[in-house]
Amino acid sequence: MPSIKDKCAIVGVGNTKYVRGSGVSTLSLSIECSKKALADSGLQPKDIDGLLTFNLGESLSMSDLARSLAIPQVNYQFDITGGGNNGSGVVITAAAAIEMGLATNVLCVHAINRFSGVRYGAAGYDNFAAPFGRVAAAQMSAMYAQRHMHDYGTTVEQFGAIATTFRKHAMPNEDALMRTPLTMEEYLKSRMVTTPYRLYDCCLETDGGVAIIVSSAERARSMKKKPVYIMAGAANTQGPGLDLGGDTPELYTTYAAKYVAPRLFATAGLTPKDIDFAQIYDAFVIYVICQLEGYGFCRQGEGGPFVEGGKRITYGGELPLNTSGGHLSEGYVRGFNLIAEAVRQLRGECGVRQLKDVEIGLTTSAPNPGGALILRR
Amino acid sequence: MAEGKAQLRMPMPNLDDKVFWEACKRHELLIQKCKDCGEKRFFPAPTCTKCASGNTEYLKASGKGEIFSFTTSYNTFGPQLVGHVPITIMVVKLAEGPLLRWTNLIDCKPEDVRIGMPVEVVWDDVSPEVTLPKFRPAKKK
Repeated sequence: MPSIKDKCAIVGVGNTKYVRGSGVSTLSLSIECSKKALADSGLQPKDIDGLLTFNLGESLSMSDLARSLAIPQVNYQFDITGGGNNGSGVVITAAAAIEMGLATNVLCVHAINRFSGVRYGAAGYDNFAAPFGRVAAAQMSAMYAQRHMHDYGTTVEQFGAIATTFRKHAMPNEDALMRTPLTMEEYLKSRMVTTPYRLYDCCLETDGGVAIIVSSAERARSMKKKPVYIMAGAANTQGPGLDLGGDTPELYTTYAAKYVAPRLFATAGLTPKDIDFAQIYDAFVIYVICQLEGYGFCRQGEGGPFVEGGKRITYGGELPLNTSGGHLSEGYVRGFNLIAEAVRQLRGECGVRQLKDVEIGLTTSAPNPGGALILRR
Repeated sequence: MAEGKAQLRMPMPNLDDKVFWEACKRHELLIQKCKDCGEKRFFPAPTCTKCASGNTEYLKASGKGEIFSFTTSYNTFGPQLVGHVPITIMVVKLAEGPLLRWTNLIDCKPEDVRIGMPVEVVWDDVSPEVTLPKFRPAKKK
């Protein structure tokens, strides 16, 4: 069977600062992070011949981006519809295009003015949502969380362990939006947004952009930075009859991870035990718990105890998670900032938040359909 | 818009769900049943989620069920829910089997809502054009 394993590598990453109120267009944010990724990779605009982005109601013209970066010719370009469940899938799609000879070096970009532009809940239309006041993703996710608490006894303190740990991770990160400490006491006192979610259970409405350049493994070896190889990936996988709204009970507890994980680990020839760290898509806290279960780091229903107290998911722990603060505290760029952090950890570029001796990392996109990448140095 | 209260966007029936919304005006809660494999489903869609058959019939559901999951929103999400919070949004497991998403729980204090609570449909005649199925705690016989 054909396999994507180790065929391609991430050769450049770049990001803007994550802020509230960028004051510039998403095109400008895209240009800024793309230029940084180009500089990081040592490539010139003329070397880029593939462009990918994704959107939910804030589409970015790939032609405008190519023009603004003075890219002379593009051979492969798509603006893919989809939100945070797409990030990993976009990168693996770039790798697939390269492997099939459609493009040489693909620039994947995602930029949003989620704070100053189109905010949560303002996009999309569903006859069974808005009339009942279901206007924001937080409400949908909260219903997953409520069910998980009911079925497995998951607690708000376990949610709080995720929020406070990721905040600790964001504090040394100069690009992060939230850098002040967050205690469990403050977490528990924070205002209720939509039960069982408090303020800090929800990710940050962020303005920012991230660019990721993918190339063939062979070319990557002669580039400026140490290649970060794509060992395996999934581009938006889902199970039978599942939709984001949760028409089947299964969605409330496993998401797409259940379907992604077997293929992902089989392609990489690895098991969850081989993963040194993970950047888990954390638009909301329950996504972390359910994906720890779905990717096999613990058994179904044991995601809450896994994160409790935070020790296993922080620096020096069994499985450090979201080492730059994640979507909960660094900023929300639909999974792309998580991938950038994984690349930097594997290169050893993370300064005070650098993990020791890491070789293999996982990044995920969720909830459903969902994707993931296994990256290695 | 009523003073201080945001207007929720009402359904815009489409070719897949207009039969459902028309029935709501008659206070009938419809689900779909596959005439080939017997699978019952919600929300309205052209084919069966189990066998993909387009051989579909509509069934009048009893309107009884239990809360599968819920959230009570206190945040107004910008202007969108001003005047509506707290509001309980939920998924109901219908007595016939399918999960109905989403709807509201009314006539129940937020602190009393529980997963598994028996509920029954109650009709909100918003206008001559729109009736929404909502639910309240089931009355004990």
